[in-house]
Amino acid sequence: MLLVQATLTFADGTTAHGFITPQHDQEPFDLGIIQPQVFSPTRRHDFWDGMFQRPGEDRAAFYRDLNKTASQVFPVAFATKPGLASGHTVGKIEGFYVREKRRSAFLPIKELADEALSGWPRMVAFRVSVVVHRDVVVGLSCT
Amino acid sequence: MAARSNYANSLIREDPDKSHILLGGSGRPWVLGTPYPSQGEVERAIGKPPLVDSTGARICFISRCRGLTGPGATIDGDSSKMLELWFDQSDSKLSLMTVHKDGEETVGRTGRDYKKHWTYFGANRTLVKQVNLKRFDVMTRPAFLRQFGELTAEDFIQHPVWIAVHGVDDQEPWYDDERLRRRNFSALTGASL
Repeated sequence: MLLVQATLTFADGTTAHGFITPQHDQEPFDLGIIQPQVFSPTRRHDFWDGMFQRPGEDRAAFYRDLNKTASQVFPVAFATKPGLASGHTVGKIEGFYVREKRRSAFLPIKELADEALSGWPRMVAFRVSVVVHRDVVVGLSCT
Repeated sequence: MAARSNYANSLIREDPDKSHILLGGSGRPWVLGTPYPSQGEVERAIGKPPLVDSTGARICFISRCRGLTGPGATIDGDSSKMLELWFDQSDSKLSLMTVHKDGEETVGRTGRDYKKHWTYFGANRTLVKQVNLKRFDVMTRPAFLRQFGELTAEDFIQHPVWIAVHGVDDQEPWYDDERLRRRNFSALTGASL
């Protein structure tokens, strides 16, 4: 397993140091393998929540640590320096990722834009669950 | 977990992440993100100053925590008494944990294979938890190794590529220590790149 230095570019154009695990380019692009991580001035952050979404206060702490809002952070583009590694080394992070319950795919948890929160003071995120049976969407819920 | 923690199991907990040491209790564990915390890190985490013994060796005694009950009964009928953390004076890293138990001399050891499981019971003799002390073994490791959680931006500036040592450094002399194989990374340098 390799960890390769990467530059992460936030939605507001600022950059930060980080690292990724390069993925073989014969495989479908999978952020669960690449696992981008970013260094803030005080600590390291990842975007991977696995089975359980990180609590809202942890997400708030993440934004506080970066001194940015959600819309200033996501999407985050990442890339390694040319020549450091082969395979999938460039990509985009749409949000914090959780494993979707009924499928092996990972879905980003979208943070609502700041302006959209004006009428929803308590709501800071939503999650869409999609139930698929034999390639047909049979259920859709938003929480 | 019993609602009322006893003193012993409040001092030592196992974390799912084996690279962590947790000290603490009453739902307020002190998390030390490395198996090699320095004395300063421990002191900051627990907010207590160390005591200094007569020989000048700096020893951090962790006495009873506020809000906790007295020593709890163990499976062999003894009760815990005190936990000490000893720090190497050359690099100030944790080098030895010693647990005193009533009726016994020091049971901590300095050997690498120090493993001891104690099982603590609550007041109604229901199993509270098993405590595994092996995380406090005396460990040494090469300076070029980093645990995953220790890697910093500066490390990646110095060495842009790090590789997990498991399955790579099998022939290295330090590799016989099983604990160093897990979640440790070494820098790839020069021709390795």
